Amino acid sequence: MEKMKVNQTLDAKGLACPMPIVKTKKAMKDLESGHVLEIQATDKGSKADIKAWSESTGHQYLGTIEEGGVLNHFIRKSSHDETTSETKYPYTISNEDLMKTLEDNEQVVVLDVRETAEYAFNHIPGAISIPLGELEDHFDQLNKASKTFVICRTGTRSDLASQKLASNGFTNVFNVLPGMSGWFGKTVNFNQ
Amino acid sequence: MTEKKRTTIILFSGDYDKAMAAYIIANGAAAYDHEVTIFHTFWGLNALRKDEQVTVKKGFMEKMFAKMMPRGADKMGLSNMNFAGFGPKMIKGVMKKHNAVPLPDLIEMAQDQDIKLVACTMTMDLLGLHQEELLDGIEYAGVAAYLADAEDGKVNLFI
Repeated sequence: MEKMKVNQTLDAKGLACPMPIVKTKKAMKDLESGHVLEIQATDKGSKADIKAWSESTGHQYLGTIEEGGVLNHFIRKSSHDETTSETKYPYTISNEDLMKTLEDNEQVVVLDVRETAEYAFNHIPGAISIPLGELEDHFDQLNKASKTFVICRTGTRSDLASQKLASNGFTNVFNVLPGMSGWFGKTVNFNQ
Repeated sequence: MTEKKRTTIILFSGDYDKAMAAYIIANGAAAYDHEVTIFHTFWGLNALRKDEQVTVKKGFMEKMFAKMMPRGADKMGLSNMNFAGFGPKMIKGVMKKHNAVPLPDLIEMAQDQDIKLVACTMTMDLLGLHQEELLDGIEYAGVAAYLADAEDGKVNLFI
């Protein structure tokens, strides 16, 4: 499995219902928006619980990895400004057009700027993962001239990333709208 | 910001297992960011009793009631397989094995999570329970206060 960066890990192993969810709520309260929490639990019901809880409270449930009897759940704390996405970067491309471009086997770069845990559970085949917060340290991994499609979940983080790239000499950058939340094309996860 | 969801539970039963179910749901609902109220009436009031003896002036009937009812959540019996008090001992052993949270801890957690614990004053009078005998930090109210909380509740339970 690839490295999956989380901002905080909660040990709820051995705890029975309702403790995992009670502890998760507490941990999420102190977490910063956009950050990822990993919850390690052994309660078999926790998978359904954490998923339902995340959806009901508006957080993003990323997925669960089972490892030797321990369920590792990943959720990302949502931020309020993400849903009211007002993008500023002028060059955009729709999901459908990106899908076509990829099908035509054009030589393009898909840059996924979501957190690594989000990327791990679901991403476009061949996409490069560089979370928005680490983008500046990794400009050297990218080619300034190649056609680059920047994608996140809803188009907000990719908008910021596109602006950053453009102001650092990248000339062929497009923001993908709306992004992975509306992506019906091929995806892969860490198992594949 | 959307309005907070609300869960209200009437705890009528004085059985350990039923009270446990009520408190597990309540704690879960609080984690769901619901505003939670547990309204304790009749035998459910025993879950709020302090476990030590509190000296208060009581009449003969009230004294009898006080003796016969469980003093605190930990002393409550089971709704099924109580076996004259042996059942709760067994179930507590099993709970420990499975790391389930015992009822007194669930009540403490409920208070930590700002769950509103309400004692029905009318039934307190019937059973001869005084405020001094019940846990600190709970509220005292009647049916109208319960309905005010329940009328816009998404989840209403009678246990």
